[in-house]
Amino acid sequence: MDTDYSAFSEEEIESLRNGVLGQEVAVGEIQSRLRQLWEGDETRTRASLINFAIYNEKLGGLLENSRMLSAITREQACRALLIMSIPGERRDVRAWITAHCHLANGHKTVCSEQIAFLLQGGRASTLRNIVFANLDSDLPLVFWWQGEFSENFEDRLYSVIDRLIFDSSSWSDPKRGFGVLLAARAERGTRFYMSDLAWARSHKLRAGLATRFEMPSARAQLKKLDTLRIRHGSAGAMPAAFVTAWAAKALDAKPRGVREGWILQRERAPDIAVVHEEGESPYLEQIELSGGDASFRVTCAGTRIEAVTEAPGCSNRQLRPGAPQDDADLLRSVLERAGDKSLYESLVPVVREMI
Amino acid sequence: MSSSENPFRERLLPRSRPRPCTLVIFGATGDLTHRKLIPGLYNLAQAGELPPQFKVVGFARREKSDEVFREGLEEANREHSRSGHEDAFWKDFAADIHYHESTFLDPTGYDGLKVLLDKLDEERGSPANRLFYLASAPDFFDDILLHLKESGLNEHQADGCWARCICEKPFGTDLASARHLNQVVNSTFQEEDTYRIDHYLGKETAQNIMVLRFANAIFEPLWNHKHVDHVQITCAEHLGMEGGRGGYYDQSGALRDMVQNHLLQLLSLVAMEAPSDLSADSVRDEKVKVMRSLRHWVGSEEVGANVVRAQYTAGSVGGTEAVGYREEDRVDPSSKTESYAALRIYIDTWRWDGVPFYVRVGKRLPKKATEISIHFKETPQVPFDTSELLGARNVLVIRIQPDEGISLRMLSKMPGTTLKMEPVKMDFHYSESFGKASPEAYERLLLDAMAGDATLFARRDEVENAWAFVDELEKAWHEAEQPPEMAEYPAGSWGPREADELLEQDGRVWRRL
Repeated sequence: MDTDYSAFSEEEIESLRNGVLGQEVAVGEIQSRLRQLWEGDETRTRASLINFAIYNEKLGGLLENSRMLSAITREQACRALLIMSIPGERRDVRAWITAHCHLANGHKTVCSEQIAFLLQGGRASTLRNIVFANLDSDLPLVFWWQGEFSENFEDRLYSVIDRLIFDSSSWSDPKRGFGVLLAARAERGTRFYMSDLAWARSHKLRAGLATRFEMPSARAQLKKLDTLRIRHGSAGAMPAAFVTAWAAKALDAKPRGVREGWILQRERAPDIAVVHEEGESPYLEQIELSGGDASFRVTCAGTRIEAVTEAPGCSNRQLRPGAPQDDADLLRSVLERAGDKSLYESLVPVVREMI
Repeated sequence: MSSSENPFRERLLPRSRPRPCTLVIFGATGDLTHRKLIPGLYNLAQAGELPPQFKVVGFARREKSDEVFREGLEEANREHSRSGHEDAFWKDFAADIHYHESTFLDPTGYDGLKVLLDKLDEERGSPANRLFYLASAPDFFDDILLHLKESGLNEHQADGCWARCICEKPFGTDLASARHLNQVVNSTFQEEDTYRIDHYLGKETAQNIMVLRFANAIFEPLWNHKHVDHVQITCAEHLGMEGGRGGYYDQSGALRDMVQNHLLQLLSLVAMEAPSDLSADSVRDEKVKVMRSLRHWVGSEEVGANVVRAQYTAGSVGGTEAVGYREEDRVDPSSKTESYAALRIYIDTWRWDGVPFYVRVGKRLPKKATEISIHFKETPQVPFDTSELLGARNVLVIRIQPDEGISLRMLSKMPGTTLKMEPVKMDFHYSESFGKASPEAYERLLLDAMAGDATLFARRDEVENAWAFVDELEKAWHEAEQPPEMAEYPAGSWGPREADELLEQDGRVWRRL
């Protein structure tokens, strides 16, 4: 097949020539060529627990996502569909197939299939058809929509999605993004639940903070808390908003806008001032709840999280697993966790009011 | 705002979260502590699963400082931790490990332990929960429990803090000793505070038996005497008596070492009714009903007809010459201890009426494998006549170890212009579908004991019913005037001919592993 590289940068063309996306195949031949990949090779086993589609509308996304999938599939066997949709006069669909393989138990090679698509001049109908035609039957569909929701995010597509992953901290207009989501969720027949990477990024810090209140003597300090301090970088505003809403829910408080920012208003305890501090890394670095002579603090410290309690009768320090180091790490942890979806969904309307 | 519950836990900490506690290990300088307990705790700490302010106290007689004790554990952790060893993290983890030197028999040692635990509680800022792990030789259990009681360490503290006890196996050597041990344990700790460890129950695939049966709609309707022809449970071990284990094993034998605990536990998970919920007592109530329904073989004749015992003779395993059982290190040359047992077991319940459960366990078999297989009945021979086909019956296999997974054998038409059928296998491997490594059984069980979840631990009545079944067999073997013969099998084979004949009498064969 003659390859048309006009949609790619020089670096991408080089990567494609090196076979990063695998072999290019005609769209009509994908299934038969996939079969050929496996025929006659008994040393490799194909495995799949989910259909995992990653969609974006950004040049270069296919290559980045393919590299990330290579890491994700070590723990999450899947049928992966990488889809990049770019505008253009000409309507064209190109496809590549490959497999990400790793050794399981040190002896058997286990592989996840990947089909990459480039949709030029792609429309919602093309995207929908590409997804529907290439799903592994009976397996759930996890769909990671990267970036803003475009018109390609339409009801026939999202009605088959079981889990929708997105990153609200990457949106230029979060109010609109949440609006699209809530409208989609409200539709009859929609079943997906939401996995927001902005929320997931704060998971380890929140879990660390939660452990600070396992001792009754620590919980005795709850009524005295008067400050929630969140340190974060440029991309941490949205996770910080979710942490604020989460803390408000846990402390039975209502977020209220004031001139200086936000406070968490409580009926039978002092209000809690929310203080944002600028951090060095892009995302969340530290969360601290304090008041009186007590402080409960979790801080990212390299590959660990340091959880510290300084309070009468229960001061202690614990090192805990760190926040994900990169997107692949984050995705792995998101895919293996399905516990807090309703909590997140209960916070979305609160956060939407706050932003 | 009530301070009785942690308001930040909601949906964030999905499993039952253990509360801060101190784990006291009796026999802390032993193999189990170094190979399993400390590496297990280290892995839990790395995963953030341990409660904050968790502390360990090692109790043993050898003279050691905290520092020397930690150094020995660090070395062991480097070798045995499944997630590797990180120096900086170990330093943090080990800071909460302490050593208390005392013999198990010295009452003042327990007073000293109490002082140490109170000091640790004081540092922690509030009275704490205490978990006592009996990892010593079983001969010391009585004394340890007695002294714990005398020193008041078994008592629940203020603020709802608890004191619990984990007992390592063996839980006795027969029904009488198990009853005695249970009496001693329960005079010190309430039954709900007693956790009898059977590490088989902590294995991922053992836990998956209930999920497979009760979370899938397609198996349970077939899981009874109408559709199941028979069940086989195999626990094969290629090892013999390496590493000095002959001394212990020759006093125990396959029946007491494996069948009374691990295999009857697996059998009860396969045969039990659905529990009404997943609470520890609901699950264990159903398992104990199975134990109570085991048909007892009584007397030499019945035992001889339904149970085979054997010892291995010289042979070859894995390309290496292997000596016979009686020639093994620390084994009595005139030993009457079985290294292999095969049993035909009936469970006298409506569900399993007439369905034999064949159980076999042995040392020096060709490979290491623990598997459960459910053999379904033949289909009616209309329209397909499968009577001449080998492997025509559907078999569902649950592989406990190694290569954990599940497979289902079924018939399929062979490609071609004529109607020919062949058995094919659908196979699920944990390692292929789930890239993430399973936690060690001890990790899960330690965490459950801290969290107060006894589902995966044996209850007193389970243990005693299992011994009641096994005791009759031991009695026939060792006390009858004309005991059933001790059969032989060459090391590296699949057991004695007599075990094959046990199934052949019923028109069946052992599954090929």
